[in-house]
Amino acid sequence: MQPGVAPAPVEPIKVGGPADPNRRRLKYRGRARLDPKEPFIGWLFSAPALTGLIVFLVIPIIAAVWVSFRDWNGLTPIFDSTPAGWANFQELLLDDGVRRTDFATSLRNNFYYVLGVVPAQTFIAFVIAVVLNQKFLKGKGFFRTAYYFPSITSSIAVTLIFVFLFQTNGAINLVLPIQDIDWLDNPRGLIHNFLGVLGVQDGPAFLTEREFMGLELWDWLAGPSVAMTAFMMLVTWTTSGTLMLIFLAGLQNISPSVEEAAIVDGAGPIQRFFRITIPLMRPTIFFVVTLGLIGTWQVFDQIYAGSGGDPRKTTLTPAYLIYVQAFTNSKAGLAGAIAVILFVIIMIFTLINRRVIRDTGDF
Amino acid sequence: MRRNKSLVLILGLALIMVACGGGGATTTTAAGETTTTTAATGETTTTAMTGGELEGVELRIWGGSSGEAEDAALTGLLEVFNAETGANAVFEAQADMTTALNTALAGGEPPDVFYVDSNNLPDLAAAGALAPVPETALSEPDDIYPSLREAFTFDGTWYCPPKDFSTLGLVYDPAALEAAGLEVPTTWEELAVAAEALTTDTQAGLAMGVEYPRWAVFMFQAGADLTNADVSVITLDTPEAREALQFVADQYSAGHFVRPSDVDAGWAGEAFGQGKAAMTIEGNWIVGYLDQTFPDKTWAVAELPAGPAGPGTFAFTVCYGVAESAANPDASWALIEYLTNAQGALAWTTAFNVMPARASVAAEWLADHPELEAFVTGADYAHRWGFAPGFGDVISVFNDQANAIVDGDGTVDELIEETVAAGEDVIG
Amino acid sequence: MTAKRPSRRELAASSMSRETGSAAITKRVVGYIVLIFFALVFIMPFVLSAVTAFKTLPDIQANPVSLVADPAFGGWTTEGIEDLNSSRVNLPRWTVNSVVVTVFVVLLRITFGSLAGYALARMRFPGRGWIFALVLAVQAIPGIVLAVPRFMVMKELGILNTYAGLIIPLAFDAFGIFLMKQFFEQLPRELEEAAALDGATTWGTFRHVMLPLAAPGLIALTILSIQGTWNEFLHILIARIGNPDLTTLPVGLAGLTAAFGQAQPWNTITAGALITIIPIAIVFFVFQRYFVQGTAASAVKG
Repeated sequence: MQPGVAPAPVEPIKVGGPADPNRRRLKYRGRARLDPKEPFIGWLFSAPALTGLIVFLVIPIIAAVWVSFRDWNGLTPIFDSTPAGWANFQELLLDDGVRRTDFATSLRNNFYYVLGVVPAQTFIAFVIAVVLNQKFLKGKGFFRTAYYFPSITSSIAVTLIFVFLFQTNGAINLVLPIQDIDWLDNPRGLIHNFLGVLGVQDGPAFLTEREFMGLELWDWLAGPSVAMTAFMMLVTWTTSGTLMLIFLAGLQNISPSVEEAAIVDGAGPIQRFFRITIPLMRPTIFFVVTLGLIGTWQVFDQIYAGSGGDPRKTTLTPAYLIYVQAFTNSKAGLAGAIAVILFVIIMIFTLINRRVIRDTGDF
Repeated sequence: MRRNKSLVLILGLALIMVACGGGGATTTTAAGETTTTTAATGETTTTAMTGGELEGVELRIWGGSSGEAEDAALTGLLEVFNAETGANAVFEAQADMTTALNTALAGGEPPDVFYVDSNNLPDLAAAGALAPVPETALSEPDDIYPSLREAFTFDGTWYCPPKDFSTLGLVYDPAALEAAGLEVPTTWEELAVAAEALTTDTQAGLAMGVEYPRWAVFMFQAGADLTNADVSVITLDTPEAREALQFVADQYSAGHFVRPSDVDAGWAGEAFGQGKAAMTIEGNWIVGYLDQTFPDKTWAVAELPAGPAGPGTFAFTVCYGVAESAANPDASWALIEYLTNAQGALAWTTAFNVMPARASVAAEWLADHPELEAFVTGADYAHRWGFAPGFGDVISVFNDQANAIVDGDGTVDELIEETVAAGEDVIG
Repeated sequence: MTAKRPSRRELAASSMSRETGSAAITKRVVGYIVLIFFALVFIMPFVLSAVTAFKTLPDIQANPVSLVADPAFGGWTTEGIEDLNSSRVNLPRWTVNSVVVTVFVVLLRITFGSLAGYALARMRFPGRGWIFALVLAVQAIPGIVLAVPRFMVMKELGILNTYAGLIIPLAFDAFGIFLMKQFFEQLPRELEEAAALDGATTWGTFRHVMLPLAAPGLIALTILSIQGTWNEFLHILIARIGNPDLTTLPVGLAGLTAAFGQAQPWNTITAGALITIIPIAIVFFVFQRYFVQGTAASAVKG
């Protein structure tokens, strides 16, 4: 905004995206190939990355899936293992026993975790990014670095710091004006606590008497425990910075002229936010939510460094269970089976996400 | 005086070893080692592999580390070994021992020597990943406390010698006991009385972690155990076990025993150090911790009070193991012999504050640490900490149920029922 | 002030800063206060850790939250840091390793990621959908389960215990491809059409038009890759399993503090954590300056 510079042309810049009325003016819906060699070049561009992915990711994944159908102890060569057919999956999903109950518990815990963390981190990151993208903000560099700080450290180090702070006599309780909460030791589920306030102490019979996968239906509805909630806050706090970064980058792609045109047309800040910013950020939002889903279903570092599943297995997650089964119980085949089931769950959630957000990309 | 006595003992043992070795005119003992004792200076030196047979051999030892002190101690011993044999043995502390070791074993690139916790031994042994101790590799195997040897025996085969050990003892605040006019408790009844008397508004009688590696000592003292000797049957559902567990549960519900997290402590040692409990049941690692973090705290340790069936405690121990697929097993065993024979055990436990695993060395070690005698004598009746492959799930059920009891929504019967069910799942 | 009619831009600019009354200034001050407050909340845990690194253990035990070392327990001390300096520590070597690995991995990731990301975003070729599905799918498996198989792949390729083994597997990263694809998709199609009309080849369009415009995405990818590679633990642990000289900073420091069991020496732990945090913080601060809005859009007019 320099005084004395000749004003720019008044037409608004054509921008793609569903909100842009200019899109309708394109002569063709799709896009004809501009370069006849396009398929070849497409493959050429993708080839290096694809090769690497196949060698270092796909092949190990295939091996992991193969192992899930075998009885491998993880301590001797993979090829010395004996075939086990569906036994591992049966043990996890069908056979009554401690392993199935533990798996069910971990799924329940992780589900509530996903439900809480993904919306929270996406929303917080988005708001912070929009705020820190304002042209008229002084000290942007300082603020951005400050808000990004929690994301910088390795998750293990930050978890240790958090355990330190969330101790019952630690900093968090010191600062909060309410009665001290035993954050990391309280296994009571939030939903149960809420119902308890309403007077419902133990579950109704039709919920406590029925079981699914070894866990009472009443326990399925427990909600995240207080301890799990502390971890959820920890993770939201740390990943918001990373996601803020991605949103910031995405916001760069929005031309300021669009905003300016909207202002001149009389749109207030809230209208601008909802009618322009959000629709234009749709690919980025889809990206961030997908990342969130993929990441939250695999939460491991924080549990490993922080709680090990305690208190009372309410912070047990499938990824941590994989580690325990593979490395301390010498049941690597079972661990592989858990990974396969987890993979299916993640893909399902990702597909649902795609449906809901309806990414505007060509894919 | 004690020094000369143990010297004579060692000299005598050496002579006996020499005399019995092979029934002939042999002068070498374990793995080609010779032991010479210089009576004049009271020093013993061990030359392994007479004359640098390990020249240039690289040996990697993997293990966890508790910090600078332990590293320096072990590295010092290795330097002496290297000087004598010409080898190049190096200690590499691992950031994540479990992952690193498992990957190395499964991938066929194992370290030459590595730590094995007694709790992991069944998994490693059952998988065939460990090499058993060769017949003549180690000197004086009978000198090692039987309870510790047994901890590293699986299916009748002995896999590795312990490097040191810890037991659980009753650590207490002498001033608090004296102020309450109490003697150190030696039976359950006395313990209950003491715990009650010492419980005040600001302090609990005793802090103890709510988990199997602590609660089980009471079961041992009542003559009960989670499994039978070869871990083939779950034996938890007995009146003795019930008695023991109920005793412990009652103490917690009366508020005389306390769970560390309930008094805002990370573990029982911290609770004790902060003065939130007058007694605690912990292992000898608490000593270094108290020295460092609560240097002004006075403490003493006694053997755990005996129960209806006598005394009982846990031995926590780690050994030096060799992989079945090791590249140079002879060199590996030579190094292990150096580190764990009587001289090695003494050198190690002098340099770093843990207890030697050999009875012959105990007297000398105690001379320097008389206050820790209770920990050492525990070795005579200690139970091992280790079960069967994949047993971790059963222990975690026990821990979960134990916490439920302390939370107030579980009972001893439920604990026994759930643990037995889980146990039967795992060991069939 | 000139007499000519203000442009749209100037109108918009003035409307955005229209509020000049005292109520508006109060709003602004309050806004800044809120921002600063939360910024402090975000940084506070690290400030506390930094301070903790310089306290003695009894002090940490007695005053866990205090920002000042208590002279009664020994005051400020460097014993936590000194504990990091044991015979096994080799900070210079570890730092060099970390830097080398990070630089190469990031360069490779940016290259492969933007190439593949652009192809998936804009080009039509058979199998494109499957490749994208693959990119998504490989992120859906917890890394821990891939530890041993990947170790064996590296062993077969002979890159175990070499710098190549540290760098190459990390250079192929599905996240980077996914990120660049999304950023390329956000750019207007008209750009490529315009370039094609000007006679540019696909490669030319990519190199001279699209890539510069995707700069924000590239910067984001750079920062995230630097951070991710610098903090990478599991892969480094396994890839250099026989050769401790290849250890990087985070893995090396973790090795020092491993097996502490229940008695954690907080001062040493936080000291180690700080050493790994500070370089990344500097990197971020330097790079984020390039996030200046309008660089993308202004290029369109050219």
